[in-house]
Amino acid sequence: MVGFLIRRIGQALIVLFIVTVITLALVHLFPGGPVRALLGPKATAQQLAYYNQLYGFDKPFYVQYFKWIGQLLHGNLGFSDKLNQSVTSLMSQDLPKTIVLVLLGTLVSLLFGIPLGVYQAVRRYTIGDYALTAISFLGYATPTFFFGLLLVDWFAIQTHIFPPFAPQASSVWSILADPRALVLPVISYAFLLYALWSRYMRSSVMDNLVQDYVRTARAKGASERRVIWGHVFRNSLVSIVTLLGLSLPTLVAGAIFIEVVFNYPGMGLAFYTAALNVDYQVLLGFTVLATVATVVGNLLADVGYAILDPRVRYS
Amino acid sequence: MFRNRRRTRLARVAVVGAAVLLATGIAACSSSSGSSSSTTPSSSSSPSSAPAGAKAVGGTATVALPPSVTLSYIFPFTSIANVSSYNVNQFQWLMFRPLYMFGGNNTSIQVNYPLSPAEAPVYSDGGKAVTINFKGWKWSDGETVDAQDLIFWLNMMKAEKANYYGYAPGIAPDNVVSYSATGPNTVVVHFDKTYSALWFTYNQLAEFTPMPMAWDVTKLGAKAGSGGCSTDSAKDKWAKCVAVYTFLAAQAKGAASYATSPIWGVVDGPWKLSAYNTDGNVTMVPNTAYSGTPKPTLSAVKFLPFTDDTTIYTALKTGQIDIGAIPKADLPQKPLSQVLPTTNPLGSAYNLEPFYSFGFYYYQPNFDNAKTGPIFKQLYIRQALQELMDENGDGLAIWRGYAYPESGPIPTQPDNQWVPAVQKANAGQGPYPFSISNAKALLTSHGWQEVGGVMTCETPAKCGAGISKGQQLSLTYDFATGQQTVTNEVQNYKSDAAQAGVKVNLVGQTFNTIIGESTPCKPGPKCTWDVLWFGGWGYNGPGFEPTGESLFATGSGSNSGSYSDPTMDKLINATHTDSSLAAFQQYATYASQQLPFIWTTNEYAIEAVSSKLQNVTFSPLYTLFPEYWYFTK
Repeated sequence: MVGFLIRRIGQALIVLFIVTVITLALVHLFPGGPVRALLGPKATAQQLAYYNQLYGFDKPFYVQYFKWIGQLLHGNLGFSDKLNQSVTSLMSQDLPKTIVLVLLGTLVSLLFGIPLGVYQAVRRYTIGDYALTAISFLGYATPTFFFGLLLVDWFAIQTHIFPPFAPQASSVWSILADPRALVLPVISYAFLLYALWSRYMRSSVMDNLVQDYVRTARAKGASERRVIWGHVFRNSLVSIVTLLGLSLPTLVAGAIFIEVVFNYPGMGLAFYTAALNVDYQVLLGFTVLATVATVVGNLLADVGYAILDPRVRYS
Repeated sequence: MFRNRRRTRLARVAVVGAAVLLATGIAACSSSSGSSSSTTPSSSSSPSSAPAGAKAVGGTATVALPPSVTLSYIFPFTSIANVSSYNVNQFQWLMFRPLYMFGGNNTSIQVNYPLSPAEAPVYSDGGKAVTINFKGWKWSDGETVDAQDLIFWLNMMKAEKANYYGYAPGIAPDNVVSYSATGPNTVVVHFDKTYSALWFTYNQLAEFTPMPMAWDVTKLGAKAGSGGCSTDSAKDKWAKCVAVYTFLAAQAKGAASYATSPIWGVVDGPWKLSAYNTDGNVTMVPNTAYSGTPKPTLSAVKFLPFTDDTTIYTALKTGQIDIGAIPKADLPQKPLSQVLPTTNPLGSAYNLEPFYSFGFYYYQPNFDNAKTGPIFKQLYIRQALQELMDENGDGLAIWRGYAYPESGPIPTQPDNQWVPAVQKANAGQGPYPFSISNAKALLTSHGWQEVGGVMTCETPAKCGAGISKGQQLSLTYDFATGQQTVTNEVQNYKSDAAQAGVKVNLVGQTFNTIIGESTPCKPGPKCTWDVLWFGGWGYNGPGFEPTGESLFATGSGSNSGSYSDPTMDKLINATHTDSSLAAFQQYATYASQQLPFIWTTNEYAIEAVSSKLQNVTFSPLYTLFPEYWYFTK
């Protein structure tokens, strides 16, 4: 097990090294260089030279890299000159708001997706199943932002039931203090995920329904309710739980579009705005954080698998 | 600024490929939304005690910031890394008045002495000195806005010029020989040579901002003036000013503390910050100690950030904001002769106002391209290229009528003192109005003949120096992809040019690639671009006289195409030394006729203003004056 862990950690470190080198190199690929991107077209040659020196872009790449990595290891993700705040403080301000959106959206989608997925499996090939399948396919096919725009048009512009935007507040508590404004972004987010969970749940339940243990349970006289909710449901949830973990990067990517459509002041919106404004420090910081999270997540998953299934350690 | 407006949209679509769909989706939504006349803009806190239609005291005006814009830097001694028209003209100036304000709550682009803390400058010594008298306004901490505050600024310029966005070698503070306070409210500044009073006021004094003694410190809580910058000198290499700048710049980096900072709480403008969050939500309230007039009547102005112009439009349709721009796609088509549409897409809940930018758009030829540079150096060819630009056609077809032709370096709308007569000719199309036949005739009369549909030089002696026999008039235009209006414009141009035998090869690039290419290059293997679609140029600070030293002077930093003409240089220099408007007009006329750029259609925005919010106009210099605004009941 120790050897396995060392191998996996070594691989993770190599991946992190390669990704950070590529990320920093990408900054240098900004047309005209990163300082031109920062200062804009009106910058004079003197100003470009001054800021290149100020930010150390006149140094060899490896010097820049190790300086940057040193900062990262000290928890310094950089400073946004466009926003005048550190990337760390930007994340600590915006990430909780995104987490609120993602968690609420995921919760709502699970609340609907899982029981309806079970219902579809149990009542498969009925009108109810076909109707819910159609809704799921619609959820798959509709771009997230487009569905959000439709909601805004129906519920904010046409009927004035909900406000078109998320609460414009700096703290996560003030976001939660205006639940009406959260309804449309959460529904938009949940709709996409609902399609995912309900389809997987349907498929998983159908797979389990034909297993021997189900036949055994029925043969022992267990009620259909007990068979479904006591045996099949629990076993079918395993795949959903795995899927929840693996789809985390997708969840965050989906949140970007929701945050843009609803002007939701979270991390996705900050990333989007940074991309538009060529705020490379923010882009670098977010990319590194996402990379670390992905690598660490995969590492933990590998370790978890290895603990659960010893065969993995020797493969 | 001007450039930013297009750039923002371009970058948005370039970065997120779905943006076009997004716009389409919104357009579809908006078109199906029916009348919005029932919406009520967000003057939720608008006054309640005033009679209907009467001016009322109080109320919060909610203003949508343009897409992806945030107000993010508070220190008026702004570095180029932080500068934007929004940070300076719409944020800092509301709190900290520059020595001289420009523009007003109208379409004026002139200096505005009544709104400035100093009287009009008095020039002397044959134009080598200026005397500035302060009016005795008060800072919000009770101190007087006086001579020492200006000396503080000038000392900081001397100490930290590299960190000031408006600095370029040779101009302030390099050209300032000496300055001193000759009285508590009087400063005399001596220059290195005679300058035009017009140029010095509009392009040099315009950069000065008095700073309070409360800022002349090196730590929070220190006694005002203890930093010593306002009494510093070159003897210690401006060490005290460097220390004060370092402290203030560090304070300015802490955006989260802007609203609570004792430093930035000392203001002399009509507004002060009451709330600021780094997501871009900014609230300002009246500075009750403001010495100027008019005094604010609103109780607050709130700025909201948005990611997209269509999102702003949604906010307007749902009455969430009082002021915001309407996307052109949602405006009805109109003739060019009319400023506003005949029907208001937002109904009676909002009034519409035009928002002109004091700037222009252009294509940039590369005069140093070894192959095509000799072609661009021929004035007759530049004339032909200009005559192939159907500005009115583009204004109608692409900008839906919310545009006007541009014909030189001076924006012709709104009408202003700088624009020369030649630019107004041919209904604003200037000396070279759109005419494919004229362009073709011009080329054939200079030794070109159409061969296989492409103009080819047959008589080199007539074609011009550096153009060889058989050389085709085939040019590559690099344009920024991602914005349909730009794509349409270059495609129209290509189509019209083809009819005159000019082959235009369009190459789409990201905006940042265009910016990267835009650094002036020397003739050689790396200097290969022919023409760049370069967006625009705005005269909204640091200078306000639209002179051409940055764009057209030989070797200047923003002269991307390396244009060089001794006459142009001479005329530009004359605008610096000759105080007459005639000197400026000579330069502007020459630039319009010589075509260092190919001018393109100038668009303008339509802003929706809540019908309950009155006296709102949009300065072409991008400055806001909410102290003039008021709600009616």
